[in-house]
Amino acid sequence: MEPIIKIENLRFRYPGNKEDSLKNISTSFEKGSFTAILGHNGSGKSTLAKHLNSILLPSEGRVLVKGMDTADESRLLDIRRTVGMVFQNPDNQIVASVVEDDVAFAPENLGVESSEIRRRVDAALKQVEMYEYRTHAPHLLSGGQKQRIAIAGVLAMQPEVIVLDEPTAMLDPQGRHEVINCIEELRRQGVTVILITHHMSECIHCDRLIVMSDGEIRMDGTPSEVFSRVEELRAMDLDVPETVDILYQFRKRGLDVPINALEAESCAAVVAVALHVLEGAFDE
Amino acid sequence: MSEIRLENLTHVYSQGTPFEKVALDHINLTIPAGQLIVLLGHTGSGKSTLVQHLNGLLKPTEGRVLLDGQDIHRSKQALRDTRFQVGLVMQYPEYQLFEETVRRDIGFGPGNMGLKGEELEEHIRIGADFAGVSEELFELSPLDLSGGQKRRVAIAGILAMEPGVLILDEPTAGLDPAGCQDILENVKRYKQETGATVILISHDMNTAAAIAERVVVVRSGRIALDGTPDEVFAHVEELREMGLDIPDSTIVGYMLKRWGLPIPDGISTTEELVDAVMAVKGGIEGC
Amino acid sequence: MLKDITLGQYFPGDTIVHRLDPRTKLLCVTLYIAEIFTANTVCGVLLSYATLAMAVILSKTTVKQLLKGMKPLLFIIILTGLLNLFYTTGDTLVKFWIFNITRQGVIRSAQMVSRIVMLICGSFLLTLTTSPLSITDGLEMLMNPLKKLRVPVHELSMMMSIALRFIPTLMEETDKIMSAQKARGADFETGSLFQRAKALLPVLVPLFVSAFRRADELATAMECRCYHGGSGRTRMKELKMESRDWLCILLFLALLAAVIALRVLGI
Repeated sequence: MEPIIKIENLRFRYPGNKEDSLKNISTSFEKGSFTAILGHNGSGKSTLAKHLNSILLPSEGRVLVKGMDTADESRLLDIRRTVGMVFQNPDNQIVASVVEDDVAFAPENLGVESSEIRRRVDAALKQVEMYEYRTHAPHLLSGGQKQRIAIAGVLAMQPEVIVLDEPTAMLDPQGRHEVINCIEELRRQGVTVILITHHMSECIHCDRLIVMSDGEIRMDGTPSEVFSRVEELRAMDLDVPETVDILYQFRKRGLDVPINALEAESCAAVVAVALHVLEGAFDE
Repeated sequence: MSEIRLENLTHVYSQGTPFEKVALDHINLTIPAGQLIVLLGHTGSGKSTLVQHLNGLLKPTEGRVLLDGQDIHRSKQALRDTRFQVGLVMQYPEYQLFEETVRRDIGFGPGNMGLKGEELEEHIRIGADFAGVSEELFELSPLDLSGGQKRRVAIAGILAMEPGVLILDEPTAGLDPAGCQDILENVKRYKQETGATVILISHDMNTAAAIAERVVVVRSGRIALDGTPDEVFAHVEELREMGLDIPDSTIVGYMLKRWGLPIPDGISTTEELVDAVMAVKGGIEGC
Repeated sequence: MLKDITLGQYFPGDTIVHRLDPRTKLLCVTLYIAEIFTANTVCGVLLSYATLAMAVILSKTTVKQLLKGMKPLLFIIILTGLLNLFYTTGDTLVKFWIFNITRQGVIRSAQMVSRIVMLICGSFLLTLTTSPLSITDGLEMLMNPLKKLRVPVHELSMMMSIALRFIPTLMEETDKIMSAQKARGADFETGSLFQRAKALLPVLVPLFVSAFRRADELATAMECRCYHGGSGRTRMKELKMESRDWLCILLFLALLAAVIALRVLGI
């Protein structure tokens, strides 16, 4: 099956910059997958995200969305309808003064028929569990709620891929949980998700983890595979989830534990088994 | 280096209207000079309201705020002085930068204190040094800097006033792991070198675990927990209920203890956990 | 502090007034304003009040809400009343110190205050019962004929709608910036007018910078949701004039005519 997004030899430099922000990136994204892209500020992860729906165009190479070249101006709307994007600042994505009016913005732009817009808006709000707030004023909502509205606004376009660029960076823990739960629900419904983040804990449940540094892809694999390379990640000024660090430290002290129990509960279980405090009933 | 004391501090928003809300409910808290304390609490717990009383931005509905034993609201002059003695760095402080150059922005606070000339320059240098702002940036416009640099300039602007009490509201919000560590290091250094009392507000328990000498947990306008990190982190269930993000090491320690491992309560960092477990491991295998 | 202003506060509801097309309401408010300023006879003014009362009752607005809506402009109302009371020439009723209250002054003052109150209530009812998007949609449709004169009707409407949406957000931000600068010793209260204006610079500069940044991010977000101008746009809530809309407009036209007639007849 053709991947839904293909990136071929992408090189990009911001006008006026002395260095490339992206240096020869080639990869692809499968339909229905949940990929997380990790990297510290300046690694190029957000720049890469913006190439996925033509906000930025390559200096060299190309990006194909369902076979459409992002540089092709005639396909701009089709591309943006296919790949939706949610940004970091919850406030600066909301256009209208009433929740349902904001969620309707995208289908209105696409010339969708009136009653169909209504159906999509209701469906999208239900998907993000914000349906009861449809007549509320967005500025009175919490950060997590606003981000969910932003996600609903993108869902109303019925995109095939949703890219989220550090969606939880400005949220408190509760807001972060709401948004991550929302994303995981979308993933369960078969939406292709690409999550850009620097929070390790958000990457635990993804199918694939890409680590970027200095404009290049440095690691690409499952979370377990990637996080086990603790020293390498630290050398890139990144960190690993706390659970991985715990297991890594135990291993250094001679305890025989696998390094890939990423959730706190399974981490505890795996340590307990290794200590013979519990028998191996909790093997992953 | 100053002591702050809150006596029966109460703050009610929109008193007398149907929207009346008790944000702070008769809080009593003494923060001794030179202590590094982390204030934890979920959104809406009242921690931001509390902190705005410490430098007089908000006036108590009831109760008093005492700086080194004196009521900060006793006179207009006293209130004004408090602004400079209690430095408050608000959330996302980079959004308050406005001057033409970094130097002038850092100098805004000390300038308002009445400092001029060489004394002013000295304060600017000190503030910049503590916040990690290199002098090369001084003549640049603050708007030309990166996000992380902007935040450091904003913090420098407060440190340049050399407050005896330093308060930081979510100083690591929105920063990547490297950025977070950087800021916390600078804060620790400021405290060590000036002996200032430092109050950090956070939802992030990892921050508390990393640097706090004392942790105070605020819930619905009242103090719910108060003690060393170990003491506070032992209340795992309560903390969970409050919607705080508990460090994985705490959860793992809690679960191991429940399964019978004789390790202490209130583990808050990976080092503590691993040390505690390995210490008793010998004991188990020896059986 | 700044958040207390009930500026264009929309209150969703299901009354007949809520259900009227926004264009109807915009036209009727305009007709009502003409009615208020034309009425200069006792009957005329009473008729204007009756019109307002009808609208208030039908929209299920409470007196409390009305009073809250008038609060920000209370100062202007009182000032207008007093100025007209003390500075109108005519037959003196009462005289003390430098103030000279005339019969004409009392009448004029009552008339002016009355007009302002009705004006405020009328527009307040409009924004109370009509969502900001509906208002701008309605305005856009009413202004459509101007497109022939190359007026960027859709763009103006979108600008208005976004501006309304960001008012509360920017007010919140102003609050935060003021607090942050106060924490650095900024003083917005003491000093001459010039000094106080200068003191606002640390608030205005970050606010402007922030507004530009927001605009940039919002524009990108809008484009990502396929915004490409006004052509080809549909609406979820389509505006359609029902019979009740036409009746309402006719009613207000009739009321205006009645007031004009009363004025001419002098009753």
